[in-house]
Amino acid sequence: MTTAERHLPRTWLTPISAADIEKLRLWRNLPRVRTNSFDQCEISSDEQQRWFAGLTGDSSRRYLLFGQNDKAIGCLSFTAITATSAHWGCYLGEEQVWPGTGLLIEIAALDYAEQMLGLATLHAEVLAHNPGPAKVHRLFGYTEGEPRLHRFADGREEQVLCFSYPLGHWTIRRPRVLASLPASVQEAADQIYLQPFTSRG
Amino acid sequence: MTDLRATILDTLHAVAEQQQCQLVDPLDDEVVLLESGLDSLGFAILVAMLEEQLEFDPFTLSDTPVYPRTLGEFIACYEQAPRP
Repeated sequence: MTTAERHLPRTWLTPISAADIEKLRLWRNLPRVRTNSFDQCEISSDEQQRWFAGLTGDSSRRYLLFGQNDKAIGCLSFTAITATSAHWGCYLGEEQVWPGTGLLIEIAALDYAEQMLGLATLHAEVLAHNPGPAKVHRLFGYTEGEPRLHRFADGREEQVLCFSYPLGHWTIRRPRVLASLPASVQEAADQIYLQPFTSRG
Repeated sequence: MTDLRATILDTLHAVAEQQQCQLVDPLDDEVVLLESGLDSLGFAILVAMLEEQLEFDPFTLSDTPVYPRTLGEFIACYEQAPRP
């Protein structure tokens, strides 16, 4: 079968809107998502409304819907954005996703940080009990810094793995990183759209 | 157990071991893939290895694909795929 005959998922990113925030709240409150979050409290509808209102005019935070083919499946966020760096995070709200989607999120985050935000460095933090994202960060060539301790609202503490990526290297490394991944991921990476496009169908 | 199901499960366990992923126990058909213990890289490798063995990837055969939520649905995608 040729590449042209294979149907790989189309990945798209678009800024969140008021119409999305209840869906985001429901996703964010899923136990599977909360357990890997730094703030594990359930979020009320009022809190979500206040959070969204607070984003207006705040250039230090950018929240994007992460889409696959014709539906939004998760959220990708950039926070603590400065002229040179930001932290990123994500969660998948939907469970019916293309196998390998986490790798596409990783690629999209680096592409977006470099091309749309023009950053020099991208930071990522992962709770130590969550080995999947940490493994992918290492695979992509993130530099691992000193871990730190995080204290949850209920007093529990957990180690946080801290990563950073010099984005000046991403353009050079991207083909090499993709070449180390299964062919379908390489092909799907060619269908990542960093800006909304007219037809998601 | 069908040959196809056995092939998928055997390969899944092999990939999990290779990738040092701790699979949930029991790993039955109701397990949600995102909670199975196999990570995103593991699933990408699993699908690639199955394509080598079976000579098809059910997730690339249609332009309106239905992606699996659970392990049972993942296996069904292979069992019900129109072979090229």
